[in-house]
Amino acid sequence: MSAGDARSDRDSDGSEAILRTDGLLKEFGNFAAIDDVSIAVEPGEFRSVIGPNGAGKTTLFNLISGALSVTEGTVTFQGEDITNLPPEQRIRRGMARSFQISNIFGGLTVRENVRLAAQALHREEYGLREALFRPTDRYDGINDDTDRILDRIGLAGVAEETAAVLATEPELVLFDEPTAGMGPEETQNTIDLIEEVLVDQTLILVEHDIELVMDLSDRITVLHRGEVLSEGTPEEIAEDEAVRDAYLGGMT
Amino acid sequence: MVIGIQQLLDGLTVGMGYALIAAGLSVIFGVMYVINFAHGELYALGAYFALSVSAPIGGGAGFYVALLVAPLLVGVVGVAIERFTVRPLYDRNPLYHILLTFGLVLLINDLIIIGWGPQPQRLSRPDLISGTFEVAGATFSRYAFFIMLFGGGVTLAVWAALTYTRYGLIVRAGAQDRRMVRNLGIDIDRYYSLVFGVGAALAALAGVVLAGRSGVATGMGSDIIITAFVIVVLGGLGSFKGAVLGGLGLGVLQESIIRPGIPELNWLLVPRIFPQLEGMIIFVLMIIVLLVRPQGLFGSEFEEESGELLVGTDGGVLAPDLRYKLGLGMIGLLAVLPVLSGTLLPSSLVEGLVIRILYWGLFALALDFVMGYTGLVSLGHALFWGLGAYVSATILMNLTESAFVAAFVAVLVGAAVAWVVGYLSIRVHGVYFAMITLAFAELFHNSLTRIDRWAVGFCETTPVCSPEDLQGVQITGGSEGLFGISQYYGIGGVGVRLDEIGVFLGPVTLTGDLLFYYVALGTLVASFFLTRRILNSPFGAVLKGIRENEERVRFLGYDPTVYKRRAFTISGAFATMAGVLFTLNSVGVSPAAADWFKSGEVIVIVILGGLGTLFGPIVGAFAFFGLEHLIQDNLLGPLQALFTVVLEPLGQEGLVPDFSSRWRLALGALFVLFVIYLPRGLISVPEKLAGYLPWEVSFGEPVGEDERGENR
Amino acid sequence: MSGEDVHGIERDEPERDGEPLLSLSGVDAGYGETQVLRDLSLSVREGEIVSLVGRNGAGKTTTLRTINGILHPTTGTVTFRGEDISEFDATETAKRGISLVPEQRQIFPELTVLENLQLAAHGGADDAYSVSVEEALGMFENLQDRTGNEGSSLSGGEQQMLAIARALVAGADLMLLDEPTEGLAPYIVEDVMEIIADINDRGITVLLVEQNVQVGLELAGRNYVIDQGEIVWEGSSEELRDNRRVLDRYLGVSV
Repeated sequence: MSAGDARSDRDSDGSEAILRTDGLLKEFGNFAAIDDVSIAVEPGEFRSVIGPNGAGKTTLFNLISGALSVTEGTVTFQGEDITNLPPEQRIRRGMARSFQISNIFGGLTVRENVRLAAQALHREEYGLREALFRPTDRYDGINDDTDRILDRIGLAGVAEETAAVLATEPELVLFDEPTAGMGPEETQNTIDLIEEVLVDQTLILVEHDIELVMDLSDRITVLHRGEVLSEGTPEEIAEDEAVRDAYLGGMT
Repeated sequence: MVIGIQQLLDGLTVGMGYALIAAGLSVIFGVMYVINFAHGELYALGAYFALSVSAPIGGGAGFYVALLVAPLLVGVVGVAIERFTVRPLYDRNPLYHILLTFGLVLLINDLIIIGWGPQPQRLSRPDLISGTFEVAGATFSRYAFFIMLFGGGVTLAVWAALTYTRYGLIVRAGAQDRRMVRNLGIDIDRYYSLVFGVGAALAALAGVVLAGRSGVATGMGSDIIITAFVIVVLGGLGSFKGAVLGGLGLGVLQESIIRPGIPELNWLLVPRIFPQLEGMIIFVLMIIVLLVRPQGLFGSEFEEESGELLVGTDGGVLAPDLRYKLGLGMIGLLAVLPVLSGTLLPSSLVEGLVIRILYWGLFALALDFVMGYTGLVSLGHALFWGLGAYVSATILMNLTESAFVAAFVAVLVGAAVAWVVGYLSIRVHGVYFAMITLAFAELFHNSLTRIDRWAVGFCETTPVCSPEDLQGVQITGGSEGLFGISQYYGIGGVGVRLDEIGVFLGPVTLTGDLLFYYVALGTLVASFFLTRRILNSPFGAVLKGIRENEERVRFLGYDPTVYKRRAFTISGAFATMAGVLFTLNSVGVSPAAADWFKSGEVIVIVILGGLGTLFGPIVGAFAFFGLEHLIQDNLLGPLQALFTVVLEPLGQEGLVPDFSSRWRLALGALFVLFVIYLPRGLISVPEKLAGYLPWEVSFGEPVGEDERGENR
Repeated sequence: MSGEDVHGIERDEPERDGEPLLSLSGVDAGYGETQVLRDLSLSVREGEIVSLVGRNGAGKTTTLRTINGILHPTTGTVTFRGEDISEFDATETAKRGISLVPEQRQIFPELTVLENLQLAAHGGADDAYSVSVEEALGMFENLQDRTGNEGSSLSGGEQQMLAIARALVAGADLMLLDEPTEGLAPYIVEDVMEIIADINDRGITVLLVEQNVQVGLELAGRNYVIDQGEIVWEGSSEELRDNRRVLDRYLGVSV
């Protein structure tokens, strides 16, 4: 199946999508890192975005999370146009994104990390005076959430990051190469954890390695040179010649 | 004609001097990322060297020789400063350069006074370039033309060297991307000394040239440095062209437009408004430029490659409960000090020194709350101290003598101003934030001497009030300030005056200053526990998160800007309270309360004690003023005696330098050593010591403030 | 098309008893407390093009930085022409003839093309292979018309050309190329590949880090596959192309 077909398929029933991008364009100088990318992700879906290095995966990720501004096109989340919202506003509307482990707050305890995330959710529940002067350990709601999440997840490496993500009770979770730099065993554990803990959430996983996401994804979008090369179920992608060529550069 | 030729000439003359100073400052920043507060002192040093060089030669020749030799000497001083003090700090955050060069300011300033005496002097200049000449009926100063020709020539020569020589190419490349220059196999570090030396020499040249115009005085360095920063910011940090054009432009703006005013434009504005705003417009300009185009008019954006702030907590080896006990012990000790005053301790020690330490401790605590916990380096905290001092003083003089009302209103005003300043400033980062806060503080500082005149002018021109209404009202009291403040502690006329009551404790009676001591101590202790509480709240948790990783906090759904702004507001409120305490403890306030020097001193205190901890700044205040006291009382006398012993037998009593009240010399030298060898502050001393002991020492588990042990 | 028969291997300069030009042995390195490279060993012989491939975060750029002297190994050694350069900084390695063309190109944005090259002429190694500014401009035709333009006005492809030209002018016996084709349009990728082949023909040894496996396979004689800071595979381009397991497991490129 061709790229064009894949896209029109999704567009036709994209109205119920939790997240969609329409004609997304991101230029750095004259270079279009993302060129006319339209995707639609349904609630509860596990979507992987893959592609060779330099395909524009991370750029797309940053456009969705708000870390980069869009040159053209729109990003819609739960029916609302969020194209021009700053990251923190997107997060408050129910998105979450993971960071690579090296990015976590090294100076805080695991508990403080998770609690900071849980606290974001309860922000509206207390006034300024409380927020300023009441010690954090006296917020039962936040602490219960923190405990619940810490109980649910073992605590090492990426689990801590996942816990922090989970604590914000997101509708949509964005993962950017969560297993980069990990060994095979650690990679497997991470993937298992993501699958197990975040089963109810909608997930978008940006990944370099096709193999890793084959078994997990409901659908896969393949990016190549900033454009959607193909989109479909893992089975469809596995048989797609265009994808194969993109990865191996037509050398076979 | 709108601007007279003579005025334009004045503007260009002063502007040429500015250009020479700013050019060096800007290039030093661009290449080495060093904010050199000592640049103004190098300028002053140039002028003083010129005095010494030209005097023995005398007459016209002396001036020409000085013009050559003084910059060379200062250039050598610059190279030495770079090599021995700046070089160890290149990898650190620019904050440490501020601290270091601030120490150098103290050091050089006092050296100048010791060497040349405190009185202003004149630098005689040759006949050839003195006097005036007439062209077409107009009279012109020869010296002005000399400055422009000579300064213009030097500027062109430096520009040509930067553009066409190999050294210039390397220096320009270094200002854009040091690392890549190293990758090409060019040893850029070797050029740093050169750049620093040339920058220093240019400043010295400006010093000689401007000294010939308006004489030599001890404060000339710190007077000009802020102007130089304004120029560098306007022109663009790191841009030579920007510094030169900015310097000329600012000279013309100040001397040709603002000072004389433009009569043709007066219908536009309140009459005579320009002269009244002299000295202020440049800071408004600076703020606007920083907000609209932080890279300046001619600069380009550069990546801030700055080392991290060395936070004191990382060095803590004391267990929390040990620290807690130490803290309580210290409070207890402080609480009994007044009882011992006059018997075991000299009364001046408690009533003068320790009270001062207490409100400076509060000031430092306030700064650290925003600097240590959100990484915002404010160079303008004197603004809040000044606000606290002046608002409370104005209220006490004009409205009510209730200290409570004065303090309450002042803190509200301080918090509101902090919110506004924070709202405008926090959108810019790093060194730009430091500069914009400096501009706000200087704006306030400059307005202090004029507010009363404005009020009169306002009442003269509008029907809202008449000048008679202002009879006997003093808002800021002009350049003298406000004096004759008295207050009672209470509200609505009910309360106590500290001078009129006594508290009898056995043989000791506490009254006046000794009672105020408890007011200050109580305020400090209460503020300490309040800030501690805030840091343990959800708000504090977010601040700690921001300190670790701002981007990460954003992606948890927090807007870091909002949190930083709130932290800045809280910090401003506490700093204002420190200023209020200052007023309550003194008979009067003067514009020096908002001098930029105070902003520098408080940064020094915070780092001296230990950044990013709450007790560090308080420890820093004790160390700072304690050292000042020790040096003053115990070090300067013997030093003076030593010189006398050596020089008297030689019949050279006249050469004995006057060391009295030159404690800043030693203090400055100490900071320099401090920032190089103990950047984490005094609170890291236990850890350092533990490292040197041959056996394992345990001060309890080295854990943080919270439940750090958990799960890790 | 296969790599070896065009460039590299068979055109080797005489070796000093087989001693490699560059070798890393048992290198651990990283940033602060984060260890990135683990017991990494590799060697590059004079005249070769060697490619280092691996997934994102595998340690490719860290390896180049350790060779270049921006980072230093915590254990192990880096040897160049038989000299231990483990503790050399970037300036010193450049003076020995190791030239890094960094991933972001790092053209001086406010210097003109000509000045970028002139600057390079003041640096680098005296006795390494180098070309004059004029020769460099002759090699890179699209830079010729733009000598007066500032670096920031160049396109990505032109910047890459200038970065390589700059390294040539500075002088290099070993050129470290970090992702030279990243973000470039396909026809420019071809140009860059030709240039890399050309400078190798001039006798410069190349260590190439590539995102685009195809570029590496086409240019290089030998390939190292790096994963989690360790070399997990080494071999010729044919061997790598046929090795489904390696492509699949470490490079994530096979379907």
